Amino acid sequence: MYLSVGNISFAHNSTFRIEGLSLAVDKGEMLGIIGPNGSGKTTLLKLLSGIFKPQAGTITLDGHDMHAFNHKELACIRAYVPESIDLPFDYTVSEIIAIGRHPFIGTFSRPGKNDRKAIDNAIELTDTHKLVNRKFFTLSMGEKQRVMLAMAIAQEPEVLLLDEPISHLDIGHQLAFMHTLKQLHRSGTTIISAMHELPLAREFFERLCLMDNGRIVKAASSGDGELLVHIKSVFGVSDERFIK
Amino acid sequence: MKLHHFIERHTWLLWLTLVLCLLMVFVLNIAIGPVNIPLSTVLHAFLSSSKNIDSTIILSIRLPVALSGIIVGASLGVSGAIFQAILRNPLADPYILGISAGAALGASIAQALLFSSIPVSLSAFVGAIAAMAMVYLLSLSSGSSTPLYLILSGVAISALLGSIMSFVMLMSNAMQIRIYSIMLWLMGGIKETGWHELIFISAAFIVLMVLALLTVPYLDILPFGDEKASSLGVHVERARLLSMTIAALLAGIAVYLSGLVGFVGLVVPHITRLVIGPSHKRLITVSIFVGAIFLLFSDLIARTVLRPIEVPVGIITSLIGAPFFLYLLLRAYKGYKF
Repeated sequence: MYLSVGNISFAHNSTFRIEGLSLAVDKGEMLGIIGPNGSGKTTLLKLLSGIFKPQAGTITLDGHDMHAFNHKELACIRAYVPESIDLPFDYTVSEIIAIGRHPFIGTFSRPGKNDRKAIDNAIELTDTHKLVNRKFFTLSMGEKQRVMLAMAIAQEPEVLLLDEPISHLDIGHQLAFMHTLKQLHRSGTTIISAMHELPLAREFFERLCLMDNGRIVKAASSGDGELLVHIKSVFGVSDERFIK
Repeated sequence: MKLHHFIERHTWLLWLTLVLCLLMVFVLNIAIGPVNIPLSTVLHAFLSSSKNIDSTIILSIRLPVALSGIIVGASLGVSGAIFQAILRNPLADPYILGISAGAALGASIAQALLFSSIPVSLSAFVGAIAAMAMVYLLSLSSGSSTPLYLILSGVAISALLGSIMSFVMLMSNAMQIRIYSIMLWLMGGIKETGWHELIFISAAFIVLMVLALLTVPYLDILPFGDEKASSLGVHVERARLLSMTIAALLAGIAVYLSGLVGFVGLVVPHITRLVIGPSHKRLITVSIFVGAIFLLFSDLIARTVLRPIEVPVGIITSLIGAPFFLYLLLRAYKGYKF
């Protein structure tokens, strides 16, 4: 197992907790996390990315305890795209994408050839050529998400974690974004993303992990019949048109 | 935007302008005073070893004051830029986390109550740093020193120290007179400093500036929020404490040399961002110059506008800074982003 979560517990505050949660993710897998608002998708993603530390249980990455890695080592392996970014300063797109290289650049060194290559590759994959000289505040929501994805790709992660990356996009941009993820997946990146768009999630992800109330109800391949039954009951939606 | 691109392509022009402006205000600062000294005499005093009254005034009074001015302006500019980045708030300034209230109370307590043998500058410095440390520790008690908790703790501590200060003032008439003189000191003017002291402070200033430049990547990453910063390999709590300590000490140096000079730390990073954008490597280096130029220029006005009376430079920086800041707010209202 590449990324393995063993019986973890984590509590933010007294009202919400994750308890006894286990999950295994294969290298190169594309896993979607679905569930109602407040079911613990974001918390699970932050645990998987090492931002939160479980109060009990372990998370291992490629056989090593995730919290044995230091911040920088971890940043060279996985990247995290939060649901939205609220920047106080108006950076240009190229500045933002370049910040993704931070884990690879030493205190006394400047960006090198490899950094340039990673940045170019990220721009290429996300089709952000035309945006590089633009200021972040002038971008549309869809463009902002593409730039945040480019920043994460510049990190050249083995594991890419995304928190509802397409929730604020129109259907055209949603599809384009998902195709970019698929392309990354083909090049071997492990992708784990929280999703609200059930039809798209079922279309693009090999496996879905359904959460409710801080636990995993069911993790199964997207077409699984039993999963569909659980989805209906967890979301309280009986009309399949909105789920399929 | 256009200015930004132009400067990107002609960086040397920017540096040339900054260096020339700084040299100009620096030399004028030395030449203009209660007695005006011709520029040729100023240059002569630097170049030749012969002693006369003019060269003595220049070397033992005017030069240290002008150098102090550079240190104060640069420290406040850089300190402001750092605070704005780590607090993720373009409206932050070096005094936001209790430094001004701490400096005032520190100076008052030391002078009025306990140790009047300690220089005002030193007690103000200690008060400022102590208040900042209190603010940090208080914000930590919530689990993490997030920008919001830091700012709220800053407001709380400032209010608390301010009320203690008022209490001390009410205790007796004699105290009020002493505190009034401390208030005058705090109002913000560059004090005359001896060479020994100045060399020591300059060394500290240079070390802090080097540290500030080395920690620049944190300043670019922390504005993205704690979680994104952490995922980019930054130990957020440590990075914030380090940057905050550098910024607090720089502000402390400024307090030590000149009391509380307002608006420099708020306005300088804004002017600089308008010209070169928010990327912190350039923002910090250019803020050093813009801060120094702004302060020396304000000091020139402070010394000439009501001659022979010298107005505290803090009043001039606020007189220039506050309207400029209002202008920025109006622009923000119309959609301009910082």
